[in-house]
Amino acid sequence: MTLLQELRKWRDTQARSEGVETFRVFPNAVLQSLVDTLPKNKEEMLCIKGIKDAKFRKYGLVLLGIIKTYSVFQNDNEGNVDTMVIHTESEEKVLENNKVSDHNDETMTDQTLSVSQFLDGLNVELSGMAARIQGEVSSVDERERVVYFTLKDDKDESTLQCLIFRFQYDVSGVKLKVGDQITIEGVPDIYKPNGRLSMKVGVIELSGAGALQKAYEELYKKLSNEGLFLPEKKRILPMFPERIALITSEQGAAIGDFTMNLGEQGFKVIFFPTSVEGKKSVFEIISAVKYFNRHPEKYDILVIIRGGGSLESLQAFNNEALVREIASSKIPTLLGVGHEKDITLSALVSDKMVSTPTATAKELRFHFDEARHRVHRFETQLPLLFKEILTETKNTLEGDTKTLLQYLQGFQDIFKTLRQSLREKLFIIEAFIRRKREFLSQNKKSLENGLLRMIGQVKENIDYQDSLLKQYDPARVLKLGYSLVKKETHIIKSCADIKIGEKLSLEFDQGKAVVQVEEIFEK
Amino acid sequence: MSKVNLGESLRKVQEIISWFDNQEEVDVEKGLEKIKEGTVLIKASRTRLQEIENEFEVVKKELEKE
Repeated sequence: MTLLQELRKWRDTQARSEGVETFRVFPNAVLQSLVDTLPKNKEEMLCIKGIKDAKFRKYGLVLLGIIKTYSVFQNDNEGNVDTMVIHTESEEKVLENNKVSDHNDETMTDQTLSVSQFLDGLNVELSGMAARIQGEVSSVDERERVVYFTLKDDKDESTLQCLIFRFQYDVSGVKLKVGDQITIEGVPDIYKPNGRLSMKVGVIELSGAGALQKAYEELYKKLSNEGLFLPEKKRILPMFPERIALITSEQGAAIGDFTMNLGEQGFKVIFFPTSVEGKKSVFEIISAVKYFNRHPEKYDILVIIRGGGSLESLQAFNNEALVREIASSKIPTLLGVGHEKDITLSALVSDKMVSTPTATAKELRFHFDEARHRVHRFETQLPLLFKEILTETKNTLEGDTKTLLQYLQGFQDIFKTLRQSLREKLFIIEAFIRRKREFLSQNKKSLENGLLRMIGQVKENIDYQDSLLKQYDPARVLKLGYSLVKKETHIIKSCADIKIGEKLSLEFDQGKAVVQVEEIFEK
Repeated sequence: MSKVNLGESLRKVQEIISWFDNQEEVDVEKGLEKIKEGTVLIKASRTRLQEIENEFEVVKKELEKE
C-alpha cells in the first residue's frame, strides 16, 4: 500500500468516526502534499497549505507517525537503514513529548509532562480508538449547539458520557429519548478543562427492527401530515432527459445495472459517488443533492439509485433530513431504491419512484425507445400521406380538366352560334344601309327639283306681297293728293278724336303743316 | 449533444398527421408544406435517436469543495 493510500485510509476512518465528510478531515490535495513533502516535524507540516495549528493539534502527531512508519518501512525494504529519516534532537523531543505510544514508553517515564501535554497525548491515542457502541439512552440534555446524552450498558449498568453536535444530531434523524436502544459511532475524547472523558459521536442509529419500524411510521405520519407525499406535489419528469444528475455508490451492482440498462441514448450522466448505507451516506447524499441543486438549470433530472435491502440497511433513505432535501430539490427527482417491505420515505417524496436501478434506467430510456417506434411509424405514414395527396390531386385535376373541356366545348358552341348570328345581323344591316343609300341617291334629284320649285314659288309670293305693299303704301295715297291728320303721333280718323283749339299736324306728299281746330262738324 | 427538442418535434409531426386526417378537402399547397415540415422534423428526430454513446462525468467531491 502506498503512503497516499495509507493516508486516505486513515482519513476515511477518521471522517467516519467523526461523522463528517472526508474533506473536512483533510482534502485530497493536503494528503498529496504530505506524500510529496514527507514532513518530519511540526514546522515542516505547518508549511503545508491546509494544515494549521488546530489541525496539527488534532491530527498532526498521528500523521507524523504514519509518515515516519512508512519512511522506516520503505528504508527497511530498501536495506538502507543508515539513510533513515533523522530528526534533530529538538524535533525528536517535541514528538516524544506529545506522543504517547508503545514505542516511547521508556521515554515517557523519563520525562515530566504538563497536564495539558499529557491530556493532548491521551487524546491523540484516543482519536485512534473510534468505536461502534450499542446501549440504552439513560439521559438526554439537548442544548443549542450540542446534545449531551448518557449511554448505559443494560447488563452491568456501566455508563458512557456522549455528546453530538447539533447539526449532526439533526441530520441523524433520531430524536433521543430515555430508554431508546441505540448504536453510536464516535471517538473518545477528554475535555481538558474538566478532564472528563466523553464519546464524541458522529453517528446515531436506532437499534432493532421494531424501533426502526416505529421510527419509520412516525416519520411517515409526520411528513404525510405536512403534505410532502401529496400527488399534486409530484412534477412530471421530462420525457427526453439528456443531462442526468446521478447519485449512487461507485461500488455495488446498482451502478452497473443502471449503466447496462441505460442504452446508448446520448445521455450526459454527471455522477456524484456517495455511500448508500449508514449515516455517513446521509451526509454524502445530502451534499450531492445540494451540489446538483446549486445549478439546477444544468440538469434535466436527478436520479438516486441503490440496490434492495432491509429496513436497517436502507435507513439513510428514511432519514428526515435527506427526505426533506429531496423534497426541496429544484431538479425533478427519480428514485430507484430497492426495498423489501416498506417503500423508503425518500422514494415516496420523489417526483417518481421505481423499484430498482434497472427499472430506473428503463424509465429514463423508455421515451427514447418509444420515440424510435414513433419515428419509424411516421417515416412510413408520411410518404403514404404524400402519395395520397398526389393521387387525390391527380384525380381532382383530371376531373377538373374534363369539366373545363366540357365548358370549353360549350363555350365554342356558343361562340359559333353567336358568330353566325352576328354575321346574319351584319348582313341585314348591310342590306338595309345599301337600300337606304340607293333610296337617298334616287331621291336626291326629286329633292333638288322640289327645292327649286319651292324657291320659285316663294319668289313669286314675295313679288306679289311686294306689289301689295306698294299698293297700300300711304306715300302713294299722299301722292294722289290726300293728306294725313295726326294728333301728335296718332292718326285722326274721326271728329270725336279732336277738340276745338287742339293743334293737329297735316302731312302731305311734299311737307307738313300744323293747324288749330276752330270748328268741328260731326256727321 | 443535439439541440433537437425530441418531444416537441414528435408532437409537431403528430399534429401534421392529425391535420391530414381531419381535412375533408386537402389544400395541396398547404399539404405539401406540411409534408416538407414533417420530413425535416422526422429527419432531425431520427438523427437524435441514433445510438449515441452516453457521456459519464464523475464529480470530484473534494476538489469541488476546495
